[in-house]
Amino acid sequence: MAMDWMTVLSYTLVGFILLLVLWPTTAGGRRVLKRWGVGEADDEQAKLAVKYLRDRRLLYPPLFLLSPLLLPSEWGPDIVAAGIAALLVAEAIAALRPARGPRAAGLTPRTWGGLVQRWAIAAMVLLGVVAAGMAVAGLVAQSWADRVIASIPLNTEWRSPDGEVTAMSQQLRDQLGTPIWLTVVAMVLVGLVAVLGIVWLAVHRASVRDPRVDAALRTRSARVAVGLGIAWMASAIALANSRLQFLQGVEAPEAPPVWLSSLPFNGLLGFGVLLVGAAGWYWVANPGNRMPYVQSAR
Amino acid sequence: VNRILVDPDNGVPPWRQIKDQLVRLILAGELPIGAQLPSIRQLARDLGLATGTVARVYRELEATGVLRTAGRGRTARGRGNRCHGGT
Repeated sequence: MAMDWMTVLSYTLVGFILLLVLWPTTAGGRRVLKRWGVGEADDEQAKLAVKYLRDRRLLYPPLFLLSPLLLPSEWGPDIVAAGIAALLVAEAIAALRPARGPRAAGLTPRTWGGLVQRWAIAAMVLLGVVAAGMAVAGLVAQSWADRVIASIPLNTEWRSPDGEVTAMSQQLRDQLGTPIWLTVVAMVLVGLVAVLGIVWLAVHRASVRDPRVDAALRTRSARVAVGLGIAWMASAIALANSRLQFLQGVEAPEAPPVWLSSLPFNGLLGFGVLLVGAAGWYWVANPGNRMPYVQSAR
Repeated sequence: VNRILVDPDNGVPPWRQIKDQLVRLILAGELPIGAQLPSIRQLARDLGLATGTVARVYRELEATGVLRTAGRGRTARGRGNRCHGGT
Protein backbone atom coordinates (compact mmCIF):
# COMPACT_ATOMS: atom_id res chain seq x y z
CA MET A 1 0.00 0.00 0.00
CA ALA A 2 1.44 3.38 -1.00
CA MET A 3 1.91 5.89 1.79
CA ASP A 4 3.91 9.07 1.88
CA TRP A 5 6.61 9.52 4.46
CA MET A 6 4.74 12.26 6.30
CA THR A 7 1.85 9.89 6.96
CA VAL A 8 4.21 7.14 8.12
CA LEU A 9 6.01 9.59 10.40
CA SER A 10 2.77 10.94 11.82
CA TYR A 11 1.53 7.44 12.66
CA THR A 12 4.85 6.62 14.32
CA LEU A 13 4.69 9.89 16.23
CA VAL A 14 1.20 9.03 17.50
CA GLY A 15 2.56 5.67 18.70
CA PHE A 16 5.43 7.37 20.54
CA ILE A 17 3.15 10.00 22.10
CA LEU A 18 0.83 7.23 23.31
CA LEU A 19 3.83 5.39 24.72
CA LEU A 20 5.03 8.51 26.55
CA VAL A 21 1.59 9.37 27.90
CA LEU A 22 0.85 5.79 28.95
CA TRP A 23 4.37 4.88 30.15
CA PRO A 24 3.68 2.70 33.19
CA THR A 25 4.99 3.78 36.58
CA THR A 26 4.81 1.94 39.91
CA ALA A 27 1.89 4.14 40.95
CA GLY A 28 0.22 3.44 37.60
CA GLY A 29 0.76 -0.30 38.06
CA ARG A 30 -0.86 -0.10 41.49
CA ARG A 31 -3.80 1.82 40.05
CA VAL A 32 -4.31 -0.79 37.31
CA LEU A 33 -4.23 -3.60 39.87
CA LYS A 34 -6.67 -1.80 42.14
CA ARG A 35 -9.09 -1.30 39.26
CA TRP A 36 -8.85 -5.00 38.40
CA GLY A 37 -9.46 -6.28 41.92
CA VAL A 38 -6.06 -6.30 43.65
CA GLY A 39 -6.39 -3.55 46.25
CA GLU A 40 -3.37 -2.39 48.28
CA ALA A 41 -0.82 -4.01 45.96
CA ASP A 42 2.69 -4.20 47.39
CA ASP A 43 5.85 -3.17 45.50
CA GLU A 44 6.43 -6.65 44.05
CA GLN A 45 2.88 -6.86 42.74
CA ALA A 46 3.08 -3.34 41.29
CA LYS A 47 6.34 -4.28 39.58
CA LEU A 48 4.62 -7.25 37.88
CA ALA A 49 1.84 -4.98 36.65
CA VAL A 50 4.36 -2.42 35.35
CA LYS A 51 6.16 -5.14 33.41
CA TYR A 52 2.88 -6.39 31.93
CA LEU A 53 1.89 -2.86 30.85
CA ARG A 54 5.37 -1.98 29.57
CA ASP A 55 5.59 -5.16 27.44
CA ARG A 56 2.39 -4.18 25.67
CA ARG A 57 2.88 -0.44 25.36
CA LEU A 58 6.41 -0.73 23.99
CA LEU A 59 4.76 -2.33 20.98
CA TYR A 60 2.65 0.75 20.21
CA PRO A 61 5.24 2.73 18.15
CA PRO A 62 6.22 -0.16 15.82
CA LEU A 63 2.61 -1.31 15.47
CA PHE A 64 1.35 2.20 14.77
CA LEU A 65 4.02 2.38 12.09
CA LEU A 66 3.19 -1.03 10.63
CA SER A 67 -0.59 -1.09 10.80
CA PRO A 68 -1.21 1.64 8.16
CA LEU A 69 1.55 0.14 6.00
CA LEU A 70 0.26 -3.42 6.17
CA LEU A 71 -3.50 -3.01 6.50
CA PRO A 72 -5.80 -1.83 3.69
CA SER A 73 -6.72 1.85 4.01
CA GLU A 74 -10.42 1.00 4.58
CA TRP A 75 -9.49 -0.96 7.70
CA GLY A 76 -9.93 1.37 10.54
CA PRO A 77 -9.70 2.73 13.05
CA ASP A 78 -5.93 2.27 13.21
CA ILE A 79 -5.83 2.80 16.97
CA VAL A 80 -8.12 -0.23 17.48
CA ALA A 81 -6.06 -2.35 15.05
CA ALA A 82 -2.82 -1.35 16.80
CA GLY A 83 -4.35 -2.04 20.21
CA ILE A 84 -5.52 -5.53 19.22
CA ALA A 85 -2.16 -6.29 17.57
CA ALA A 86 -0.21 -5.10 20.65
CA LEU A 87 -2.28 -7.33 22.93
CA LEU A 88 -1.94 -10.30 20.60
CA VAL A 89 1.83 -9.98 20.13
CA ALA A 90 2.47 -9.40 23.85
CA GLU A 91 0.31 -12.35 24.91
CA ALA A 92 2.00 -14.57 22.32
CA ILE A 93 5.45 -13.52 23.56
CA ALA A 94 4.35 -14.18 27.16
CA ALA A 95 3.11 -17.63 26.13
CA LEU A 96 6.31 -18.51 24.28
CA ARG A 97 8.79 -17.04 26.76
CA PRO A 98 10.53 -19.88 28.63
CA ALA A 99 10.07 -19.85 32.40
CA ARG A 100 13.16 -19.05 34.49
CA GLY A 101 13.77 -19.05 38.23
CA PRO A 102 11.15 -19.72 40.93
CA ARG A 103 7.56 -19.93 39.68
CA ALA A 104 4.16 -19.79 41.30
CA ALA A 105 0.74 -21.00 40.22
CA GLY A 106 -2.67 -20.44 41.73
CA LEU A 107 -4.95 -23.43 42.31
CA THR A 108 -8.09 -22.03 40.75
CA PRO A 109 -9.19 -23.81 37.54
CA ARG A 110 -9.19 -21.31 34.70
CA THR A 111 -11.59 -21.09 31.76
CA TRP A 112 -12.26 -18.34 29.26
CA GLY A 113 -15.70 -17.87 30.77
CA GLY A 114 -14.05 -16.91 34.05
CA LEU A 115 -12.02 -14.17 32.37
CA VAL A 116 -14.52 -12.50 30.09
CA GLN A 117 -18.31 -12.32 30.01
CA ARG A 118 -19.87 -14.91 27.72
CA TRP A 119 -22.40 -12.35 26.48
CA ALA A 120 -19.53 -10.11 25.38
CA ILE A 121 -18.05 -12.84 23.19
CA ALA A 122 -21.54 -13.58 21.85
CA ALA A 123 -22.10 -9.87 21.11
CA MET A 124 -18.78 -9.61 19.28
CA VAL A 125 -19.53 -12.71 17.18
CA LEU A 126 -23.06 -11.44 16.49
CA LEU A 127 -21.73 -8.07 15.30
CA GLY A 128 -19.23 -9.95 13.11
CA VAL A 129 -22.04 -12.03 11.61
CA VAL A 130 -24.08 -8.88 10.90
CA ALA A 131 -21.04 -7.26 9.24
CA ALA A 132 -20.44 -10.40 7.15
CA GLY A 133 -24.14 -10.51 6.20
CA MET A 134 -23.98 -6.90 5.07
CA ALA A 135 -20.81 -7.70 3.11
CA VAL A 136 -22.70 -10.48 1.32
CA ALA A 137 -25.50 -8.01 0.61
CA GLY A 138 -22.88 -5.72 -0.92
CA LEU A 139 -21.60 -8.61 -3.01
CA VAL A 140 -25.12 -9.41 -4.26
CA ALA A 141 -25.70 -5.72 -5.09
CA GLN A 142 -22.38 -5.57 -6.95
CA SER A 143 -23.81 -7.44 -9.96
CA TRP A 144 -26.35 -4.59 -10.33
CA ALA A 145 -23.55 -2.02 -9.92
CA ASP A 146 -21.49 -3.79 -12.63
CA ARG A 147 -24.51 -3.78 -14.98
CA VAL A 148 -24.96 -0.05 -14.37
CA ILE A 149 -21.31 0.63 -15.25
CA ALA A 150 -21.59 -1.48 -18.40
CA SER A 151 -24.83 0.17 -19.50
CA ILE A 152 -23.60 3.76 -19.36
CA PRO A 153 -20.60 4.62 -21.55
CA LEU A 154 -18.13 7.05 -19.97
CA ASN A 155 -19.34 10.69 -19.91
CA THR A 156 -22.56 9.76 -21.72
CA GLU A 157 -25.68 11.53 -20.54
CA TRP A 158 -28.84 9.59 -19.84
CA ARG A 159 -32.29 10.57 -18.75
CA SER A 160 -33.61 9.24 -15.46
CA PRO A 161 -37.28 8.16 -15.14
CA ASP A 162 -38.17 11.57 -13.66
CA GLY A 163 -36.73 13.29 -16.71
CA GLU A 164 -33.45 14.50 -15.23
CA VAL A 165 -30.39 14.37 -17.47
CA THR A 166 -27.40 12.87 -15.71
CA ALA A 167 -23.84 11.86 -16.60
CA MET A 168 -21.69 9.34 -14.77
CA SER A 169 -18.20 10.57 -13.92
CA GLN A 170 -15.14 8.36 -13.97
CA GLN A 171 -14.87 8.79 -10.18
CA LEU A 172 -18.40 7.49 -9.65
CA ARG A 173 -17.73 4.58 -12.03
CA ASP A 174 -14.59 3.72 -10.06
CA GLN A 175 -16.46 3.87 -6.77
CA LEU A 176 -19.26 1.69 -8.15
CA GLY A 177 -16.82 -0.83 -9.52
CA THR A 178 -14.83 -1.20 -6.29
CA PRO A 179 -16.66 -3.59 -3.99
CA ILE A 180 -15.68 -3.72 -0.32
CA TRP A 181 -17.29 -7.01 0.66
CA LEU A 182 -13.94 -8.77 0.72
CA THR A 183 -12.46 -6.05 2.93
CA VAL A 184 -15.35 -6.33 5.41
CA VAL A 185 -15.21 -10.15 5.49
CA ALA A 186 -11.43 -10.00 5.99
CA MET A 187 -11.86 -7.45 8.80
CA VAL A 188 -14.35 -9.74 10.50
CA LEU A 189 -12.25 -12.88 10.12
CA VAL A 190 -8.95 -11.28 11.14
CA GLY A 191 -10.67 -9.53 14.07
CA LEU A 192 -12.27 -12.76 15.28
CA VAL A 193 -9.07 -14.78 14.98
CA ALA A 194 -7.01 -12.08 16.73
CA VAL A 195 -9.43 -11.46 19.60
CA LEU A 196 -10.26 -15.12 20.23
CA GLY A 197 -6.52 -15.84 19.98
CA ILE A 198 -5.82 -13.25 22.70
CA VAL A 199 -8.52 -14.77 24.93
CA TRP A 200 -7.06 -18.25 24.35
CA LEU A 201 -3.57 -17.00 25.19
CA ALA A 202 -4.89 -15.16 28.27
CA VAL A 203 -6.18 -18.53 29.50
CA HIS A 204 -3.17 -20.59 28.49
CA ARG A 205 -0.03 -18.46 28.78
CA ALA A 206 2.47 -18.98 31.61
CA SER A 207 1.60 -17.22 34.86
CA VAL A 208 3.31 -14.34 36.58
CA ARG A 209 4.67 -15.03 40.07
CA ASP A 210 1.71 -13.72 42.07
CA PRO A 211 -1.60 -15.59 41.51
CA ARG A 212 -3.78 -12.57 42.42
CA VAL A 213 -1.88 -10.29 40.05
CA ASP A 214 -1.89 -13.06 37.46
CA ALA A 215 -5.68 -13.39 37.65
CA ALA A 216 -6.16 -9.62 37.38
CA LEU A 217 -3.83 -9.25 34.39
CA ARG A 218 -5.27 -12.24 32.52
CA THR A 219 -8.77 -10.88 33.06
CA ARG A 220 -7.67 -7.44 31.87
CA SER A 221 -6.10 -8.87 28.69
CA ALA A 222 -9.18 -10.91 27.79
CA ARG A 223 -11.69 -8.16 28.51
CA VAL A 224 -9.76 -5.38 26.79
CA ALA A 225 -9.34 -7.63 23.73
CA VAL A 226 -13.05 -8.45 23.52
CA GLY A 227 -13.95 -4.79 24.13
CA LEU A 228 -11.69 -3.80 21.25
CA GLY A 229 -13.16 -6.66 19.21
CA ILE A 230 -16.68 -5.29 19.70
CA ALA A 231 -15.53 -1.83 18.58
CA TRP A 232 -13.75 -3.44 15.60
CA MET A 233 -16.82 -5.38 14.47
CA ALA A 234 -18.94 -2.25 14.85
CA SER A 235 -16.52 -0.40 12.56
CA ALA A 236 -16.79 -3.27 10.03
CA ILE A 237 -20.60 -2.88 10.07
CA ALA A 238 -20.22 0.88 9.65
CA LEU A 239 -17.95 0.32 6.63
CA ALA A 240 -20.41 -2.15 5.02
CA ASN A 241 -23.28 0.22 5.80
CA SER A 242 -21.54 3.15 4.11
CA ARG A 243 -21.08 1.06 0.95
CA LEU A 244 -24.71 -0.05 0.86
CA GLN A 245 -25.83 3.52 1.58
CA PHE A 246 -23.69 4.70 -1.34
CA LEU A 247 -25.20 2.08 -3.68
CA GLN A 248 -28.71 3.09 -2.59
CA GLY A 249 -28.01 6.67 -3.59
CA VAL A 250 -26.73 5.90 -7.11
CA GLU A 251 -29.07 7.08 -9.86
CA ALA A 252 -28.92 4.77 -12.84
CA PRO A 253 -31.08 3.67 -15.79
CA GLU A 254 -31.62 0.33 -14.08
CA ALA A 255 -33.24 0.75 -10.67
CA PRO A 256 -31.41 -0.85 -7.74
CA PRO A 257 -32.76 -4.16 -6.42
CA VAL A 258 -35.91 -3.70 -4.33
CA TRP A 259 -34.31 -5.08 -1.19
CA LEU A 260 -31.44 -2.58 -1.50
CA SER A 261 -33.74 0.41 -1.75
CA SER A 262 -36.06 -0.76 0.99
CA LEU A 263 -33.53 -1.58 3.72
CA PRO A 264 -32.51 1.22 6.10
CA PHE A 265 -28.83 1.58 5.28
CA ASN A 266 -28.26 5.17 6.35
CA GLY A 267 -26.22 7.50 8.50
CA LEU A 268 -28.42 6.79 11.51
CA LEU A 269 -27.64 3.07 11.31
CA GLY A 270 -23.91 3.84 11.01
CA PHE A 271 -24.06 6.17 14.00
CA GLY A 272 -26.10 3.66 16.02
CA VAL A 273 -23.61 0.87 15.31
CA LEU A 274 -20.69 3.06 16.36
CA LEU A 275 -22.58 3.85 19.59
CA VAL A 276 -23.05 0.10 20.16
CA GLY A 277 -19.31 -0.38 19.60
CA ALA A 278 -18.42 2.37 22.06
CA ALA A 279 -20.89 1.03 24.66
CA GLY A 280 -19.57 -2.51 24.21
CA TRP A 281 -16.02 -1.28 24.69
CA TYR A 282 -17.05 0.64 27.83
CA TRP A 283 -18.87 -2.28 29.47
CA VAL A 284 -16.49 -5.05 28.51
CA ALA A 285 -13.02 -3.51 28.60
CA ASN A 286 -13.51 -1.93 32.01
CA PRO A 287 -13.56 -3.88 35.26
CA GLY A 288 -16.99 -4.86 36.53
CA ASN A 289 -18.51 -6.24 39.71
CA ARG A 290 -18.42 -9.76 38.35
CA MET A 291 -14.91 -10.99 37.58
CA PRO A 292 -15.09 -14.67 38.61
CA TYR A 293 -11.46 -15.62 38.12
CA VAL A 294 -10.16 -12.54 39.95
CA GLN A 295 -12.65 -13.09 42.77
CA SER A 296 -11.82 -16.79 43.13
CA ALA A 297 -8.08 -16.02 43.25
CA ARG A 298 -8.49 -13.71 46.28
CA VAL B 1 -4.38 -17.27 48.21
CA ASN B 2 -3.62 -20.97 47.66
CA ARG B 3 -0.66 -21.34 45.41
CA ILE B 4 2.10 -23.73 44.51
CA LEU B 5 5.68 -22.50 44.38
CA VAL B 6 8.36 -24.31 42.44
CA ASP B 7 12.03 -23.41 42.62
CA PRO B 8 13.93 -25.48 40.03
CA ASP B 9 17.24 -24.63 41.70
CA ASN B 10 16.54 -25.78 45.27
CA GLY B 11 17.66 -29.38 44.70
CA VAL B 12 14.23 -30.98 45.23
CA PRO B 13 12.63 -32.37 42.06
CA PRO B 14 9.72 -30.13 40.90
CA TRP B 15 7.16 -32.99 41.08
CA ARG B 16 8.11 -33.54 44.71
CA GLN B 17 7.79 -29.85 45.54
CA ILE B 18 4.30 -29.76 44.00
CA LYS B 19 3.20 -32.96 45.69
CA ASP B 20 4.39 -31.90 49.14
CA GLN B 21 2.68 -28.51 48.89
CA LEU B 22 -0.59 -29.97 47.64
CA VAL B 23 -0.66 -32.53 50.45
CA ARG B 24 0.11 -29.82 53.02
CA LEU B 25 -2.64 -27.55 51.70
CA ILE B 26 -5.20 -30.36 51.65
CA LEU B 27 -4.34 -31.76 55.07
CA ALA B 28 -4.32 -28.28 56.59
CA GLY B 29 -7.81 -27.74 55.19
CA GLU B 30 -6.67 -24.74 53.17
CA LEU B 31 -7.89 -26.59 50.10
CA PRO B 32 -11.35 -27.70 51.25
CA ILE B 33 -12.71 -31.15 50.48
CA GLY B 34 -14.31 -31.08 47.06
CA ALA B 35 -12.28 -28.07 45.92
CA GLN B 36 -11.54 -28.44 42.25
CA LEU B 37 -7.91 -28.34 41.20
CA PRO B 38 -6.55 -26.90 37.97
CA SER B 39 -6.10 -29.23 35.03
CA ILE B 40 -2.76 -30.92 34.47
CA ARG B 41 -2.12 -28.69 31.47
CA GLN B 42 -2.95 -25.48 33.32
CA LEU B 43 -0.73 -26.24 36.30
CA ALA B 44 2.12 -27.45 34.08
CA ARG B 45 1.93 -24.34 31.89
CA ASP B 46 1.71 -21.98 34.87
CA LEU B 47 4.76 -23.56 36.45
CA GLY B 48 6.69 -23.91 33.20
CA LEU B 49 6.92 -27.70 33.59
CA ALA B 50 6.17 -30.67 31.36
CA THR B 51 2.62 -32.02 31.62
CA GLY B 52 4.08 -35.40 32.55
CA THR B 53 5.54 -33.90 35.73
CA VAL B 54 2.17 -32.65 36.99
CA ALA B 55 0.40 -35.78 35.72
CA ARG B 56 2.74 -37.85 37.88
CA VAL B 57 1.88 -35.78 40.98
CA TYR B 58 -1.87 -36.09 40.39
CA ARG B 59 -1.54 -39.81 39.67
CA GLU B 60 0.34 -40.43 42.88
CA LEU B 61 -2.05 -38.34 44.96
CA GLU B 62 -5.00 -40.19 43.45
CA ALA B 63 -3.34 -43.49 44.26
CA THR B 64 -2.89 -42.42 47.88
CA GLY B 65 -6.45 -41.14 48.13
CA VAL B 66 -5.62 -37.47 48.56
CA LEU B 67 -7.23 -36.52 45.26
CA ARG B 68 -10.02 -38.04 43.31
CA THR B 69 -11.11 -37.69 39.73
CA ALA B 70 -14.60 -36.20 39.52
CA GLY B 71 -16.07 -35.60 36.11
CA ARG B 72 -13.61 -33.67 34.00
CA GLY B 73 -11.39 -32.50 36.85
CA ARG B 74 -9.73 -33.49 40.07
CA THR B 75 -10.89 -32.52 43.51
CA ALA B 76 -9.27 -32.52 46.93
CA ARG B 77 -10.41 -35.53 48.92
CA GLY B 78 -9.18 -34.54 52.36
CA ARG B 79 -6.85 -37.23 53.56
CA GLY B 80 -5.04 -40.14 52.08
CA ASN B 81 -3.50 -43.42 53.15
CA ARG B 82 0.09 -42.46 52.49
CA CYS B 83 -0.01 -38.75 51.91
CA HIS B 84 3.70 -38.15 52.02
CA GLY B 85 4.65 -41.33 50.26
CA GLY B 86 6.20 -41.29 46.86
CA THR B 87 9.08 -42.42 44.80
